[in-house]
Amino acid sequence: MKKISILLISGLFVLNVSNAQDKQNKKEKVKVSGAVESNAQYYNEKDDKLGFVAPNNRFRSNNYLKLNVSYKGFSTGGQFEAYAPDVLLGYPENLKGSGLTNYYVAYNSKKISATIGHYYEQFGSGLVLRSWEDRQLGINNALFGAKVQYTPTDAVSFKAIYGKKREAYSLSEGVVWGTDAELNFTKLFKQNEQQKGSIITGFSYVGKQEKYTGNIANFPETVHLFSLRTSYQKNNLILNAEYALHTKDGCVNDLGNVVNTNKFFNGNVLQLGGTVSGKNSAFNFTLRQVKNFGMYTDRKAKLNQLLLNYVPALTAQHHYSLSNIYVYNPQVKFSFLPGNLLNNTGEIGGQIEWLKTFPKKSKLGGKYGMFLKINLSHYSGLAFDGTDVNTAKVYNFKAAKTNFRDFNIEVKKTWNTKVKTNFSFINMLYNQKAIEGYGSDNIKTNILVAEGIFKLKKGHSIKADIQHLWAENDYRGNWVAATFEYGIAPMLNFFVADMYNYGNSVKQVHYYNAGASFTKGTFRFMASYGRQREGLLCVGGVCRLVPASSGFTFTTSYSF
Amino acid sequence: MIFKKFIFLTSFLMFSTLIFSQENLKEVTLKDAKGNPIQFSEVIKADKPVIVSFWATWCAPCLQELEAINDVYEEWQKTTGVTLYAVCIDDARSQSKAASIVKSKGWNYEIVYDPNHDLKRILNVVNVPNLLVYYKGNVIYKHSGYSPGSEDILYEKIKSAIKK
Repeated sequence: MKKISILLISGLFVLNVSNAQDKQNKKEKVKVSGAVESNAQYYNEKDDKLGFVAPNNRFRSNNYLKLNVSYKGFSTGGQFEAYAPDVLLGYPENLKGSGLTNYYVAYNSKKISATIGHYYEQFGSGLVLRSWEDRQLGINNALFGAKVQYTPTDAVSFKAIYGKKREAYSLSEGVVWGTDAELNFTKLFKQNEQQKGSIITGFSYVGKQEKYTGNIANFPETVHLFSLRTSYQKNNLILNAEYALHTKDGCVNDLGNVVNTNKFFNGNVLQLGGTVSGKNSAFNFTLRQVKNFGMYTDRKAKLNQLLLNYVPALTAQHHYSLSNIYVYNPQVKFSFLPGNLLNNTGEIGGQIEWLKTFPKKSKLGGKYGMFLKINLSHYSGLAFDGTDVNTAKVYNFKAAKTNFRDFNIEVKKTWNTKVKTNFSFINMLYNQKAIEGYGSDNIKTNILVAEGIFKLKKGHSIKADIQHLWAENDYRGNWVAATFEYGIAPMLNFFVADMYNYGNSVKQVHYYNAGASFTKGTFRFMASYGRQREGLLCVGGVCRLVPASSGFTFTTSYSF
Repeated sequence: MIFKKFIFLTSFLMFSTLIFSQENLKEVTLKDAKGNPIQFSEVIKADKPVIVSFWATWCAPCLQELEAINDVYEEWQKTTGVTLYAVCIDDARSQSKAASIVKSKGWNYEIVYDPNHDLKRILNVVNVPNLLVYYKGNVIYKHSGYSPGSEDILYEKIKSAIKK
């Protein structure tokens, strides 16, 4: 570790010198940029209401320092991560400690770019390959190896990758390689985009290999993934389609243990989507089947580490506290019950959405306009017969029991230059048994939210909401919540919030939080005190399970 | 111990950046609304101010900010010639949703996509909403987060920059 720090520092001194020389030349300069982020928590010793007892280290923090240095088309950099004295609760425990990660050397020009070291990449929408970072979710599965991208013209682009995925401070057992090509036919044949519309098609291939030393005969060590995608766009119409499949892979349960069977399964995804828009309105839809497509580079992997690809939930993403109690975690891979009984093979469903702005001075829009959004999504498990994995019959395009349904309406209205209101209604069906593995398969909820934003004197504003959730078939019962924020733009913000599950038949708890944030330029500091509810935290359709806790939270970030 | 080292390294780096130039003219390729590649260096080259605003369909304060600017955007354009590039960091799957939002709200912004977060990473954007203002290729203002009224301060900054 020490060596790395010395290396970094001496590197910077060298750069300082070369920078001074460059200043004389006044041509190309060495550019340094970076970012720091620190998320710390000081947990209460215990919280009887939550049943929370502090872990062995009451103070814990996740810290990231990222640095890039670039000169002309070349760049290099890395990320120093420290989880000290321990990892925040709910994050992978193998992150404990510190280390230099995500280091790379890259060259970028308009036509060619190449990276050696760690890199993030995705082919198309990520169905067959994605490596990315999401700190809130504790995800960093950067590939370590090499990638090359060649873009000879605006119409064609090729990529090739080879590497292993990052897992905390080490790398995956499995090796990944792949290639992707994207063609813009309209440009390739020099056709008029306005008249003919534009057609972009992509093809991806990814291979992964991991040694198998167990005693199942013919266990597939190598799995190949293919995907074909195409999109068509003309005026106000966008259509896209993607089909992906993979060759046979062994069965692994949620704990990362190989299921003892010599039956192997392939998988596929079919995804269709489109948008039609008019003046001040738009309609969009997606339809998707996923069968056995939640892939990892390693068989031992579980939860959010070592993910090979990206198959997020395609449902509405809500942003109020009560609307995030029952969130859909997509069911995209085979899952097993104890005794190696098949529990789930995938999901099938879709989403439709209509958005409309009633313009200023219209009947519904009033003087300042009104916005309306109606959204419906429905996802079911994929059907199969029998539960013994050796004899079960697995189907395509056949729905089983509903996993999740969400119907929601949002109305935003601006009353005058000072007052805006938002109203939301959400009706959900949540199959807890299918999504979380226990509980009711038929939780029904209705949620109402009213929010107001009030501009006061210059820079001062109030944002407040009240929410109510009615639940059936869940012991946690009904909830009520409220948030109050006072902002002094652009620097200060104060908030208090509470969620109360007054309908809980076992124990009613106030999940209160209060805090303040300070922002100046790219510097941001936030401190808060309160309780964290146990549940799924989801960002961009991927979820992490957060345990209940209480105490202080401090977040600091700065970029330069 | 680790923490000390972390703080030492951080403060050292912050100090060293004072010496360096902070231009961020990098060759990053984004995609425009039609899926065509667009170079970031071309975006910020303009003689008029350019707002680069990172947003996502799932980020409520981002939408609030863009809605608030939209109400006054026409006026801003008239007085300062500013162009707003709304950089959508949604992944490829929700691009059609992003397009729907843009169309239905009647936004006249330049919409560009950064699905692999290449630009977000190179500009060290930690969280959204986050905006940078470029004028003649240089960053003249940066801000993260949004509270109502932030847009008025943004407008002041742009006006004072072009007066200089």
